[in-house]
Amino acid sequence: MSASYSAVGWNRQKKIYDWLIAGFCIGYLALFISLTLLFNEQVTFETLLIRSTSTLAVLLLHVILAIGPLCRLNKKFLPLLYNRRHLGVTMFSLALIHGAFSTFQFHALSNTNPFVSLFTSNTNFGSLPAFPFQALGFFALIIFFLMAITSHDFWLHNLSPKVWKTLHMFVYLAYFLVVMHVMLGVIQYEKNPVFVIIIFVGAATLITLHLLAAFKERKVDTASFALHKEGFVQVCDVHEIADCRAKIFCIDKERIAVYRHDNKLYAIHNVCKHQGGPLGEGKILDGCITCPWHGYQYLPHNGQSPPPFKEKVSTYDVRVLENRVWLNPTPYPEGTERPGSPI
Amino acid sequence: MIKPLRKRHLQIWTAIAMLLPIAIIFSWLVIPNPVPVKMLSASSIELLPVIQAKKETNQYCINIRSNADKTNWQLEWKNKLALTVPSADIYQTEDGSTDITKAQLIGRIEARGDYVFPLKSDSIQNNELNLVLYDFIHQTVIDLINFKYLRR
Repeated sequence: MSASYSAVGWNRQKKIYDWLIAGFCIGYLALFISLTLLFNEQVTFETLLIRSTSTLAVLLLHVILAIGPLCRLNKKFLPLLYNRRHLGVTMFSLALIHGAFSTFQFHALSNTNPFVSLFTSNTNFGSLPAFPFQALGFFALIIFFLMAITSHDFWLHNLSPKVWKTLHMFVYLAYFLVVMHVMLGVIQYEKNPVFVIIIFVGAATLITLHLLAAFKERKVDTASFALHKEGFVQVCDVHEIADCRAKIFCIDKERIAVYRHDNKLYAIHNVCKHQGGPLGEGKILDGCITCPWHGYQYLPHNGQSPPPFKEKVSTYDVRVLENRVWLNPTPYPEGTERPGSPI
Repeated sequence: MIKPLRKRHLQIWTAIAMLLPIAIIFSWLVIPNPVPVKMLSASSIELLPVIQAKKETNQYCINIRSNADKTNWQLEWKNKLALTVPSADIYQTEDGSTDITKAQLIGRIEARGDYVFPLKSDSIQNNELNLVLYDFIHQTVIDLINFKYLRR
């Protein structure tokens, strides 16, 4: 959470996260290079660099794409989400090294401009085995580049969350392009099925995780509430909500988080203003509702971030009658103070 | 995440779930058969004793080897200097043409190193062996190498 922009808002968790990323990458590259030299001592430096960075980038891409659904399926994975953008920038940097060295090695040794050569050396667009797979990798790299340079909160606020999110959802197209880049590229020269199996298992894992998470979320969105009274809907028993925690309800179009704090219930819009994190899956820390994704905070009684921050979310009326919780799904303007309902 | 975004995620991953496995399977099915034999280093295979023919350029040295009764044959390829391409395929053609769609794939070499590939005995027809060194990235012929009088 920040009132102004800095390159990176470092804190202990981010430093630990980044050290783990660096340690993993160095360890992977060292292992890959050692094993390759052990089994193929004639390998050139360029080839070693191209292969080690490409395999690591593909592995990191799978991890990045798995973090979102894993967090929706199990809260224990939330720490992985906290600094995912650094993981993304790391993956882009590795993909850039792979792309730059590949372009240099395969296309820079002639009179033709390497980028022209990249698109003109192979024009077999009608043939699957001879398809110009390098172009697929190039376009994926362009998407990763746009995502990496706009990953800072500055761009999130200036592009607007809608545009920013739309741009960053192109990662799924990039993933498709990367898989096809691998399948129509190096795999076409491999008779060992293990490479195909690895790619297939990776894709199957991601597809399964995303679909499981989506169907889990859909259950919440389609839940129906039978009892209605004076604009209020009966949603649950008061004891179902733990202290300093919330329960999420989707009554009409949007989700509402009902929080319990100091023996009162408060209701606010479930979507964090930062990156759309689920506020109802967070908890109350220091009297503030804290988003589980990046720690943005809001006061329970008015949905406003504590000064000097300016984020606001909508608030709702909530009542407790005979230990039953009643919620009015009509939102108040963002930041409107509501007294909360005593339990 | 807002509801429309959750819906869009579900739509995207449903589309990926249908398209990606099909794309992977099709890509796997079109892998050329036989695929190139790769990186057979000279140290890992026993060389046949008789050198039947030899060609040498500034870039590489090629030996066609056989056993004494010429029933088994090998192609030994030694890169003297690093090739200007990171890897290349070696094809065998019957008529000395450079049309690799009609050629027999022998193996794949990289910019550096020594390689040994088995040759089928019946592939040395009319005492000749025509090899094409092919850059599969740029889809161009790098060199055409001809050996004659091999069974003499």
